[in-house]
Amino acid sequence: MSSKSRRFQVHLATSLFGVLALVVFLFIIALLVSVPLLQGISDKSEVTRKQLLPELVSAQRNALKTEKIYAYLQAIYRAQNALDERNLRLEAQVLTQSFAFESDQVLLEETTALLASMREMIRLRQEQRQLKHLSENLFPEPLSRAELATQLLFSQLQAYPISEVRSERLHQLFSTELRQSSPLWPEISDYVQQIAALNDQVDQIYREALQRQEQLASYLSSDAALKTQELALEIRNDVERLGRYIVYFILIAACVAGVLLLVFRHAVQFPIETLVRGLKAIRPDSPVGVELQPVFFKELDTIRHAIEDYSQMTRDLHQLNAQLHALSQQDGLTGLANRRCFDTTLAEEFHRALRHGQTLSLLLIDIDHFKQLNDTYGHLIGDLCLKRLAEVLQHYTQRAGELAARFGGEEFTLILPQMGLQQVLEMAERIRLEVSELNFDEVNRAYPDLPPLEMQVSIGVAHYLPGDHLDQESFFIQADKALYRAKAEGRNRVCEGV
Amino acid sequence: MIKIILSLLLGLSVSWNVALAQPLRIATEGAYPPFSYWNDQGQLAGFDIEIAQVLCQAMQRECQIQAVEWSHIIEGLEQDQYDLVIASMAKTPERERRVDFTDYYYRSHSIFVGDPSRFQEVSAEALQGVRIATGRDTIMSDYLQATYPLSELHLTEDFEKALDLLVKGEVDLVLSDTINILDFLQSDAGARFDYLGDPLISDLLHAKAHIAVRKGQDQLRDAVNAAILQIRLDGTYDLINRHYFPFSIY
Repeated sequence: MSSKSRRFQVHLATSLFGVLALVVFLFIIALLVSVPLLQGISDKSEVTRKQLLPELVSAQRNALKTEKIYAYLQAIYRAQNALDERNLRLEAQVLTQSFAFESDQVLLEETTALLASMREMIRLRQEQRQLKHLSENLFPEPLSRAELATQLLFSQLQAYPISEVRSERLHQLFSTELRQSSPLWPEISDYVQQIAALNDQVDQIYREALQRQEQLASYLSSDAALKTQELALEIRNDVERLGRYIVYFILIAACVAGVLLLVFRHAVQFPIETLVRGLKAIRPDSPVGVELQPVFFKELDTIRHAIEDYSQMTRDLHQLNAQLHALSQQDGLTGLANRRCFDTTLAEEFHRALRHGQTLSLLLIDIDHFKQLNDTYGHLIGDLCLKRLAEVLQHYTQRAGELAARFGGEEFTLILPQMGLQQVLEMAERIRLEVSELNFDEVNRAYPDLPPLEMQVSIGVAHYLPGDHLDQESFFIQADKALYRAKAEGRNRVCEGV
Repeated sequence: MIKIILSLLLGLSVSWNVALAQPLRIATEGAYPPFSYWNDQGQLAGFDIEIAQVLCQAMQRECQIQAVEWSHIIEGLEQDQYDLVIASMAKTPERERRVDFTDYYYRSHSIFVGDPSRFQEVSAEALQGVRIATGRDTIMSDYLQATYPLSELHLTEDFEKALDLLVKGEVDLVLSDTINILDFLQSDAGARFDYLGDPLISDLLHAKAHIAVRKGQDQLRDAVNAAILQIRLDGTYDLINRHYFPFSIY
């Protein structure tokens, strides 16, 4: 169990909440920036639609109407008769009156003034026509010769449209002699002068009216178009700005995402990978437990602690298991392998011998007259004898693969791989000798009235040679029979199985 | 079950189509040149009639136009004898209580017409005892009754009759719409007469011509408004306008 801990640690949940708050904050900022812009765009387009566009349309309509007034002015100026003039004036009047709907006072005043000019021009023309009508009575019948010539010239003059009657024309037509000779000259001259003067007046009014109309037209070129253009530009700027903000926002979001990814990799992904590696590295038989570096997030650190604890626990369990296993293979009294272990080992060794063509020897060792020994000295001494014998047998099975086991009761067994028969027999003989020479002075001193304790063993030997047609069971029976023979032949001896 | 529902739906859609395919019934006056009159061939003609026709086209509906006497024209609309009144009708509070109005489709003024040598002033004082004719149940008659109580008012069936009275010398003045009078003044019968005074710009004479629909026919009213906008923007309106008047009357 590790007690390491990082100085600065954070809850994963808290960090996630922080990230979420950051994201929400970013969105709110984006919203705060974009909503007024969008609102502005919407407002401006609404102003364009509801105010400027109608203004434009109305300005255009009014411009067309004032152009129409210009046309009426020209037409009235050129009209040759009263009826045309009247009809034109009536139309112009209706047109002018329609400006009363507009709230524009200047427009109304100017067009009314223009209508007045038209009326004035018509009035002057009317006057001219009356004069012309009167002048037709200038020549009394019958005419003198000179008068005839004058009349001819005068009718020539009268044939001109009334607006063309000018004093210059009079001087062109009438020669100096004619002027002096004609008695009617003063009247003709007076008449023409009057008409011409009226023409000058009409011209004057016409010129002024045209000027007025021109000024009105330029006044009407409303600034709605300019405003619309400005608004359209502003809208475009707003949209571009909005677009830029969106790009910034995306860039910031991308940066934040990148940083978050890095943080995630270093604070979450790598630690998790390390933890998983640590988990995988847990070995039951490793001498030390897994130890991991503390990590940033507390939740992950908890996992780290759990892994370290788990590693420790696995190791403890393994040790316990090993102890239990050893216990299950051991004879409690003598400390030699027990019957179960013997069975397993014999099977393994016999199999190995068969497989590798090696020799295998099996010794069955039985204490002679053990029951009698027990009866005489008691079971505790019996147990002592078993232990002493076990010590001897233990001594003879030091190499790998060799096993000394307590087969049951007073019977013991040795498994000896890869030994020659002679060798084995000699070893058995040595064992028998050693056992018979065992020193029991302590027991004899404790029991002075009993005969001295002696222990002898009978040994049956089975030897497997490669090529023998023998199975494990027969192999064991061979040893068992050999032991039986040793007993039968008088005990305290070694017999070889056949 | 499904078949029954399907046939019901089919029946519904068919009846819906029939409803759409039914011609739009339109009433006009027929006695208000140049907006609405009977031409030499005995057919209804005029600005109102042509506007009605292009509005129907814009709404993709068939049109049935009939002339109705002015004094009964609102009554007929209320009684479902027709769907729209396109008759140069001004919006007044009294009319608005009985029918709904669309946006305006033209604007005009009212003005006195008479012998210019006899009348220069047209104030209520100046016209004391003067005989004035105008159409019955019109904004002009309302205006005269309210503003010229000391004049002698002659209310006629329509404006043509009022102008007839003027020509016959049975009245001295007629109050009518400038554009309506223009036609008269440019005719031989009207040669003696002229517009008198300035056009009358009074709230009572707010002469914007609207189309009337039955109360609550909002769907139809909106469709007509959309159609008015459409013909104004696509130039159809200007085309008709030019045909009747030398300048825009919108």
